[in-house]
Amino acid sequence: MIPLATAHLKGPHIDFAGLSPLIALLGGSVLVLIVGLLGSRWIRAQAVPSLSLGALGAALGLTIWQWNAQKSIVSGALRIDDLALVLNLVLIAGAACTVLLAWRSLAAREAAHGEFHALLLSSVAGMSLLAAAQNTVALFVGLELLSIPLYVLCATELKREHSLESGLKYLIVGSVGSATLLYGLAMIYGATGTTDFAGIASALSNGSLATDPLTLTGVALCVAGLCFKSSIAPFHQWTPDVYEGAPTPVTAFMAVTTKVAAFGVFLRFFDVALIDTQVSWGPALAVLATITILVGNVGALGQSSLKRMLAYSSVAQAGYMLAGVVVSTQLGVRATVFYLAAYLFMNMAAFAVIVARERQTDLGDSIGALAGLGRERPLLAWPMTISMLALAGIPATAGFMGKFYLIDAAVSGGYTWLGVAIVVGSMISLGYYLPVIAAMWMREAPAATSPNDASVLAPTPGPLPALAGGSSELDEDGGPLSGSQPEVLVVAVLAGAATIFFGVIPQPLFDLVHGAGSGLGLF
Amino acid sequence: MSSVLFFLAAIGVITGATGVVVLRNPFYSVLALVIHLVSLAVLFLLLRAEFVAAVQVVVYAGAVMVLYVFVVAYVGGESDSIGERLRSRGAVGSGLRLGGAILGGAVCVELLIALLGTGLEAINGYGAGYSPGPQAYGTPAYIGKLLLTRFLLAFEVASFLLLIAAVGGVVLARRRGGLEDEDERDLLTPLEMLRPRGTGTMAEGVGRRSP
Amino acid sequence: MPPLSILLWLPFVCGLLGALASAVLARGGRTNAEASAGDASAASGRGAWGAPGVVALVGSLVALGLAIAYIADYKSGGAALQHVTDTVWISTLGIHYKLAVTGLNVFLLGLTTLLFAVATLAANLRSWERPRLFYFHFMLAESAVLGAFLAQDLALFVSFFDLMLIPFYFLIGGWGREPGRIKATIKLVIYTLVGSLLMLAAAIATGVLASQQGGGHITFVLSALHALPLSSGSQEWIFLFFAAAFLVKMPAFPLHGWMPDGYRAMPIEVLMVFSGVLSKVGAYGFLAIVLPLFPQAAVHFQTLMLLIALASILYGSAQAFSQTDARLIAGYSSVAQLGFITLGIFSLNSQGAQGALLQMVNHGLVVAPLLFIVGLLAKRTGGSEDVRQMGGLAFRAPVLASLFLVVALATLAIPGSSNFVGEFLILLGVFKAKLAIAIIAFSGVVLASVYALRLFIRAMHNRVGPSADSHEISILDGAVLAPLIAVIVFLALYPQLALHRSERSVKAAVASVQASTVPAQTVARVISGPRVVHRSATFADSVRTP
Repeated sequence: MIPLATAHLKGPHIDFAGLSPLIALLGGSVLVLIVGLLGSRWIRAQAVPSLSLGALGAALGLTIWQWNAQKSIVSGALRIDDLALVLNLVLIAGAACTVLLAWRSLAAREAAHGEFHALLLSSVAGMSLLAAAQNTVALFVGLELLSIPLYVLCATELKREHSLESGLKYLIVGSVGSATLLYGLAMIYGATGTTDFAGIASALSNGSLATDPLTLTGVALCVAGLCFKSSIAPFHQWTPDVYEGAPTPVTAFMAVTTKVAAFGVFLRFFDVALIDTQVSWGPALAVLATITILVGNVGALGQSSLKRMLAYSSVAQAGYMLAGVVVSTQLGVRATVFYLAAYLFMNMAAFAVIVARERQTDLGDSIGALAGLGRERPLLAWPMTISMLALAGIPATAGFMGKFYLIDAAVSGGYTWLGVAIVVGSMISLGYYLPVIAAMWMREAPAATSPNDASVLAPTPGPLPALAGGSSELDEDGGPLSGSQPEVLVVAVLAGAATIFFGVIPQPLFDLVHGAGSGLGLF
Repeated sequence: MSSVLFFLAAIGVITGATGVVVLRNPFYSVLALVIHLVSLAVLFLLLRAEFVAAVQVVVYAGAVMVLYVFVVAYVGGESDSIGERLRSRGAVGSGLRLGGAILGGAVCVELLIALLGTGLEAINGYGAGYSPGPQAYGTPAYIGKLLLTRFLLAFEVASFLLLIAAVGGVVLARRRGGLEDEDERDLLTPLEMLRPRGTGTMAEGVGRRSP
Repeated sequence: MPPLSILLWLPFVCGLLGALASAVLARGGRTNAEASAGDASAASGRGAWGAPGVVALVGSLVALGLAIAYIADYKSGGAALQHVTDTVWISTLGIHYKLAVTGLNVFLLGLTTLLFAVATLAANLRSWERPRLFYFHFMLAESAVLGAFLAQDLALFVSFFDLMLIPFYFLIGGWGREPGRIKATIKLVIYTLVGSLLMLAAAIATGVLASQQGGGHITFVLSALHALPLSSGSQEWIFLFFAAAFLVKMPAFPLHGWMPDGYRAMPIEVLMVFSGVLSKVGAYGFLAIVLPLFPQAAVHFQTLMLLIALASILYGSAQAFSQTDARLIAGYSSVAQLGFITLGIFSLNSQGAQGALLQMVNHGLVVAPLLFIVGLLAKRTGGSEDVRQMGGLAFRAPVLASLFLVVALATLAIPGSSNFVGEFLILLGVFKAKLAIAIIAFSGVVLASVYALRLFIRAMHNRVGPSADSHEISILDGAVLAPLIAVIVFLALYPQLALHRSERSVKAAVASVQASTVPAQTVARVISGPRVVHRSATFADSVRTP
């Protein structure tokens, strides 16, 4: 004991400036947890979301403060560079939208506001960690910090069986994914003897280690584990069920930010640490991307639940984005990050409209809930229209620019057929995006569900929720909430406007992601 | 000697793991898990990872397993579980069983290929060399030092992870009783906190707030 | 001259302003607006001159004026771009916002603005549900089509090409005719977007591969791409993707599946511009983009394209002859006419291409009034557009009948009409290239007179139809038709206007193909005999020597 007591242990240098966004998020998480215990109902329902917005705002400000930093912090665990910072911006924007969407949601009330937002913020912190992680230990801890709160968030509508089922399913599948990834990481550690990305890269660059079966098995297991997280086929089966069952704001959060974090890892881990094995995993990922594009787009056809449809669509979009990883060039990294940002706007607009309609009608998230929306509520119909057009890749939307950039990257990287696969996927996707637009603008609203009637007449039974999983979020008094929900409208309109803006004037976004590609030391 | 020990422990690991899945009585499954974990601890010892081995026995085989046994004893062995669906004779059950077997076999074959085909010499070695001393590999001091220097961030984040996992557990467990009645109750407003207890408010009068 | 951006964006801005202005007005006097909206839907469809419609009409008329000014100002001396606007749009991707007037698009601009002005006028004669949205989409469509014609950057062209479908999607789906409206809309959009998206991939590949070959920064400007020809292997698959997009848009024979449903569902005013203008974008794309950028592939696939064109002519004519729905007669006649245009383009010599260009303008000028007249006839037969329900309408409507006759004669390309000149040039060009195909194509000319006259006679003469109630054309309807007929007559008298101004540009477009025919001589000899090869070789030489 004596040598230990006298041993001089010097801790690593901690760059608190670089860590500050993470600290803001984790601190905010603890803060909302405590505030959620105090105070009256009003304080819980209003102050807690405001505080979490404040925490996100602080993280945003600190991220911008760190702009142009190029440093490894806390003994090489994290890398603060443009890629991490841009992804941070996207994550924080996505989380802020989620907070707004969840402001009046049943999920937040049932899970208690403090806990709900604490879980949300810590999940964002995990994602931010993941996007910056530079050794495999930090990577895995970040992944768990991302996942565990999400498992709970999925199940927060405790009285709805589908919400619980969704949480359980996500827990089991997510754990399998994490375990697979961990196994892969262990094998890579075994082969290279180091946990640092840079160390792994230099170990793999000498000798025959890059083609050793042990290394390659580790890489394969890592691919599988990350594919679980980013719902890439054939590891996507959980996605539709979980997306459909989870409370809609949580679904929006999962759909956008989980992808951002998972692709952050893909880019940094595969394009930095494992770059010398690219000849092995490149073609494999390209095939996976193609399968994903096909499976996602075909699966989405004919879905009547919007959340399920968007779940399959997010599978397909993950396939598109994987193309940027496959080529492993600077252009590919930029294209992926650009698409992630565009993806944020497109999906948030769509999910905001779904949230709004779930509260206004009793049709849940079925396509029928949108019928006649163009005439009744154009302010909701336009964002949804823009979002669908953008997801399908129509010009003058951010989605078009994103696809353009991805195909550009794929063709320049020698994967022309992958570019064609993206295009074929977009064609199939028209088959499910266009009917949504048609429902809004070209069909009449079903009479029973128009909010005016519902408030005046006695609640007629009307058509039952067409799909079992739709979480019909009802107001306290049980009737459809016909009142205004300005924060949801704001999210929808802003996200829709951003989708158009970055489709017409994409240069600012291009400039933003430009640095992201340069930092990784690729061609 | 160490080879014999290795094979004994390896057999224990595999039998234990198989037992967890195969045995029908949950109680026996938990006991099989204990065997598995203890054998695993032996394997860790063979790798000179004394601290991990000790933790394995104390935390898993000790604390966590005791909890499991309690839960199984409370809930009883006859609750129908996901296992019922797997054992059912229907198309789903047999499909899942077949698919699971194929996938498991494929992963096993891949791992065998990886381990047999690798050119890494350390695979055939005996782990880290044994060097006694307070700061040697695998000792608590060594691990503690790593956690506070090299992996400081992961260590701190893991502690937060435990906190948030506990919060999540509370969220899931607490709210079964129903939402509205608890929501209506004013738990602790700042004003209430300032007021001394037992000073006769209406709330105390009707018994909603005991002195 | 004002910059081209004004011409391009003016319709869109007018559509937007009209919608916003009337929305603001409606908010000011809500009760008024609601009352009038109720009236408008209930009361007679005539004279529904609302603010959005009038603003849109003014916008389209000003655009027409600008387009005429560009035609007048066009200097026919060379093939150079005129009135160029060129700024960098997205520097990262090398996409320029580059617009220019060339001999290829100058008359198509005139056609587009004319048809949109006329169709907007026609639309103003009716009252529409949700007029703000209707005119907004209508004007957005005009801007998008103009953008596709004006773009001198491949990515910009693709953007506009895809974009122009969206307003039509809404126009058909929102204001179309009921049986099968939504189904027709989705069918149309999926057909056309499938082609467009393939083209998107091909366009990006063109830019990337060309820049890799040139070693420079990626660019999509057409002139720069022209200077960096691709290898013939890449050209071939890229050509097929482009061709898919353009052939669907036209539509050509095997890819016309969306056409019957789409034509039946569209409101007639929308159909006028759709049939008159959108199909031309496809043909224009072949002429302005495919031939200059992928000359070797054009030569390689010449026979295939000619056969497709021939099939379109024969199939379209036969269908037009056997259909009874007047709209579909017009629709299938368009398939046949666009077959002729494709034939002209892929004769790969300057006569054929010039004829094709002239015929593009002619067909637009002819099909729009034809469809409008079909709409007028339907009003006289209780809403039916079946030619069997018509008949004897000329008796009480001589003016209408004469206007119809002019249009019908122009459709069948009677000697003396501009259509005759166009078809003659096309056939001349094909005659030089592929003798056998030219001879079969002649039968299309004959069939055209059969179906055009059949339509005219069944509708105007014959026994009076069962529910026919003929009356003379109104002044306002006449005002819609008059400018179109006037231009038809003018071009019949003076087709050199179009031919002369476009000559240099057409020759430039075809020249690159002919430059690449020389290595392919052996192939050509096998296919089409020695005489033709001799000619095209000498032509190529003559182009090369200066």
